[in-house]
Amino acid sequence: MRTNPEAGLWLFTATQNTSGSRAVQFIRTIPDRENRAACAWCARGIEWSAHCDKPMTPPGAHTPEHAAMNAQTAVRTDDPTPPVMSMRAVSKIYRMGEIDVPALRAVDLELHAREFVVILGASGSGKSTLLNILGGLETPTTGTVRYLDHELTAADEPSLTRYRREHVGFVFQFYNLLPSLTALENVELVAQIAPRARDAREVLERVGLADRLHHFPAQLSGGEQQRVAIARALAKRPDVLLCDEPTGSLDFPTGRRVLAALEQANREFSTLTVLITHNAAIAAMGSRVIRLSSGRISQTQVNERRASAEEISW
Amino acid sequence: MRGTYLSLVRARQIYYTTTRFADVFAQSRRAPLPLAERLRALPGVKAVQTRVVEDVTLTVPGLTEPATGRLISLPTHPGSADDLDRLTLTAGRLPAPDSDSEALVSQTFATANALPLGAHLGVILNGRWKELTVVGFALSPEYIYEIGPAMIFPDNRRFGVLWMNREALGTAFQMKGAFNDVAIATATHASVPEVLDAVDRLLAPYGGLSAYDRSEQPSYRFLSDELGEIEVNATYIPTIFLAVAAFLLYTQLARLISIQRSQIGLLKSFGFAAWRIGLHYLEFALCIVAAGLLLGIAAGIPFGAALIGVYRLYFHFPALTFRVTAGVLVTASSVALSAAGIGALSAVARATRLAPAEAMRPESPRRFRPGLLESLPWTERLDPMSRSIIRNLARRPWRAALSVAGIAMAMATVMVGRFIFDAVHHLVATHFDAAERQDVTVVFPDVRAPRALASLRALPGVLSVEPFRVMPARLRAGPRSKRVSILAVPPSGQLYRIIDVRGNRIDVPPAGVVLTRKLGEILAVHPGEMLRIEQLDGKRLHFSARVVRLSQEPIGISAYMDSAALATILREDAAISGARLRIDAREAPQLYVQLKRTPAIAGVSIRAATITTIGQIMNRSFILMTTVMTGFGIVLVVGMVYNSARIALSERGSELASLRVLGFTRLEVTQLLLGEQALLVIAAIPAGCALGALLCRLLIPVFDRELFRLPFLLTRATFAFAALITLSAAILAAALVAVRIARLDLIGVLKSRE
Repeated sequence: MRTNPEAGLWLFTATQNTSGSRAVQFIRTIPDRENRAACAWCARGIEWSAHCDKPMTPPGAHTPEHAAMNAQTAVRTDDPTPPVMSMRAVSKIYRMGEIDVPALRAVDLELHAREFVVILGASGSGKSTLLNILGGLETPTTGTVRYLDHELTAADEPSLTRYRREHVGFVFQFYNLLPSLTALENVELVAQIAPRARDAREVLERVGLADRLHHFPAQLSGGEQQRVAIARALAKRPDVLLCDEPTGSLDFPTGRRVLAALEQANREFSTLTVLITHNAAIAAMGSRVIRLSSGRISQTQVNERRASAEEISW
Repeated sequence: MRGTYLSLVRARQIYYTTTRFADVFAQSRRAPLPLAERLRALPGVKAVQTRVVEDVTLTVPGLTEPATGRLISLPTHPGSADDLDRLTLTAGRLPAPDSDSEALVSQTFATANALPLGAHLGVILNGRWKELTVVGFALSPEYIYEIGPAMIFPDNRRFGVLWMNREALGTAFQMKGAFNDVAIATATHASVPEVLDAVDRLLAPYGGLSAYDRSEQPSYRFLSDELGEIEVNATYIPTIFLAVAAFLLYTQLARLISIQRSQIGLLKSFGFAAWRIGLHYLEFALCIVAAGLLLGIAAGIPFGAALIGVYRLYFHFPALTFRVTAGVLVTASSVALSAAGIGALSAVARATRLAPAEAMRPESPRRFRPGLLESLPWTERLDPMSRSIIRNLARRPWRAALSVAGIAMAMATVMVGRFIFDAVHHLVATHFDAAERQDVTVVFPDVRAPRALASLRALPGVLSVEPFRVMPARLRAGPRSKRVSILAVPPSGQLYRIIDVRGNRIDVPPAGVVLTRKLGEILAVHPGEMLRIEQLDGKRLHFSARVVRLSQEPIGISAYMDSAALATILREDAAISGARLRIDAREAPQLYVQLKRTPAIAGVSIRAATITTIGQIMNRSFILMTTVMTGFGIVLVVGMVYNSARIALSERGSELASLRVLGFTRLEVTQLLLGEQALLVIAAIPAGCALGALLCRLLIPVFDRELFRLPFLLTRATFAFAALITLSAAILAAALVAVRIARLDLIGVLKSRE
């Protein structure tokens, strides 16, 4: 099954690194419905109190012991819970006229709940293709991509649309807000189509835009627009948040505020976040950093201590 | 279309010239042949052709009803200088010189009745039954339209022209050495009115009716009217079409320039002057127009030729071919070029006003600000998608208004086509329901005593008989005059009613005349004013009568008098020139057999057949127009909606693709884009109704003719039809755009803007 020697190595190192490592700060889960399902350690169901809307055990764990285990290994690449997303031997080849241009070569990857994964690579490294495949916008030439127990590679267009609609949040480099709608309306528009949407106003408040709700994109700064875009992505309560160079067109201080918003979202909503960037400084923020070059994963690094957005500079 | 019209006019011109169509026409009772020499000697007269012309009842194989035949003598010296209104032999041969039973038949009559060469027609010549053999088919410039006695419209099955040897007709109608009809060609600079007067004076002693020029010659008139209609279409349709085309070109260029603004900025930063860049885009626009022109000419010529093909079925011009004249091309091209030029220039002007740096930056997010929408209370409840749709429209109110106007214009075009169709049917229905209610009209060759009615009453199946007297007359009011027939009817007549605007009966006043409104307008007289009436047959009395009121029959023009009153004035004993009959339909075949064999009848017209014929004629002159207008309307709506949706798509493609990435389905994204178009179309429908009604109203004077007058009648069905066509065309355009939405590049939007 593991045909990629690099990927095999990565799994090995990952296990090495995580075993007995010091706990990174536990990401506190907000006990909302989708996180009630299973213990992050043993995957067994969590008991909930019948009279108050609280779990009987610490959040996201089956027993207090498991909570401790969870806390020890807040970021676990050998997580025994099924990965939210996984890629097996994924290759993507673009045909440009007569020549085949490989964008991804036999990539194996697992992404788990609550992770903040930074995918780092120069342009042409295949990072965008990877993101597109994760987002169900492209299908790989070979290999399989799974979201929980759904095989995306086997899905048809309407199913992929439904996948994006219900499970994926996108943040674009150029924000791509509807200029004809206010910040609030932009978020509401997307919240409307999601089955388990969050309150648009509340999410906007979380990203610090409580006083800009009724502004149109043309009346907002780039950073504000990007934070609206993040709120828009989060409002549908996605299982995975995909960010494509979210700071790519922002200056440093503004970019940092946007990163802070992403970090906060990852922390407060426990959303699996995948951020692609060519900006190496951002890597320090990730719980895991994956470097791509020439379509291959060249290095995987688990940050034992995640830097906060304030600590980053470029 | 203009080319078609000009081709028709040219064909008519050529035909009239080559066949030497006469300028002046006159009839008399019986004039001696030597009079022709005196006519020829009149100043301004170039050629004189005398003829014997008689209307007879025909028995046509395969036709149960009697038909009317106009027998015309063939010229004795064919090809001579005096040979006017020359025939074109389309098949067969001329009758043998000494034959008294061979005849040429008009091509249209033969075609309508499917008569082969060698067919036999029954005819009563001078009281004796005679069988004529068809030896050839011919076309005559005098009978491009063949309109029989007591007919307003041509009915090619029941009225036809036959040409026979002069000898044969002279013998049959006691016209040896005499003539009763004359056609005169005038010299180029002759004064036609003077010739008319002179001819009248010479023919007066011989029972001459007042001479008339081409404008009162039935076939010429009818043809002119029809060409007039075609001219209206040839002007009106391309105008709308070009206006919309200019609009489309304008929006296309504006869009192109907004996409290319960074190139414009680059060129400007390199130091190109604004006018150079403007010129570049203007050249581009002109290239498009030039390509369009070539294509238009390439497609227009076969289209024109196809239209001519249709008209060739109706107009029997031997030389009717589609010819594109340089003038037509120049007009078409310059209209198209200037439309494009104006469109392109204004778009280019906007682009070149940009400062180089500004032009090189991508357009900043389009500015939306809280506006009208936010101030309306009910918008609170709208979902964001609807708000987006409304704001996008509100942001470019002029563009939205132009789109609405364009779609409305297209819809109005459809409405006009449909309106004319409806109005024509309504007109025929009104006329025959309210005014002409007889089943059969019988016309005598000349004025008869009332006792002729008794023999009509005795015919099988005749339920009631109502006599009428038709008196040819010239009506004068001040400097204006008009040659019409005065129709004298009994005061309590049931079978012919004079009607008012609501279709209610007007009683014939015991004294004075009632005029058809149109005739009143031609003579510029109003009720209460006096008219001079000159009798043109019989005793040729002149008398005055007061116009009592105006009537509203939609077909034909007439002056009405009480039959007793007219008889008193003319001091004749209630003479009649024909009668209207109500018949028992079951006995109609026997009646027709009898009528065919009655020598004292010059013409029979049958209501049902007339209605059918008028329907056919109206259809054929209008159905083409209706079809073309509807077709153009559809093309315009599709073009407008498609264009406007495409522009929206090119401007907002990345927005829509982003939404698709965010998980919106194709359907939802399509709704967002087409919702805008749907609103435009919905807004355009009432506007189209109003504009359509206005255009129809404007057309009323165009179709206010002597022959018929269209009522201003817009039915709910017309509105519904136009709305339905507009909606369907819009849906078609939407479907075309939806295909493009399905092909949106989702990945591209992640990386680029615009």
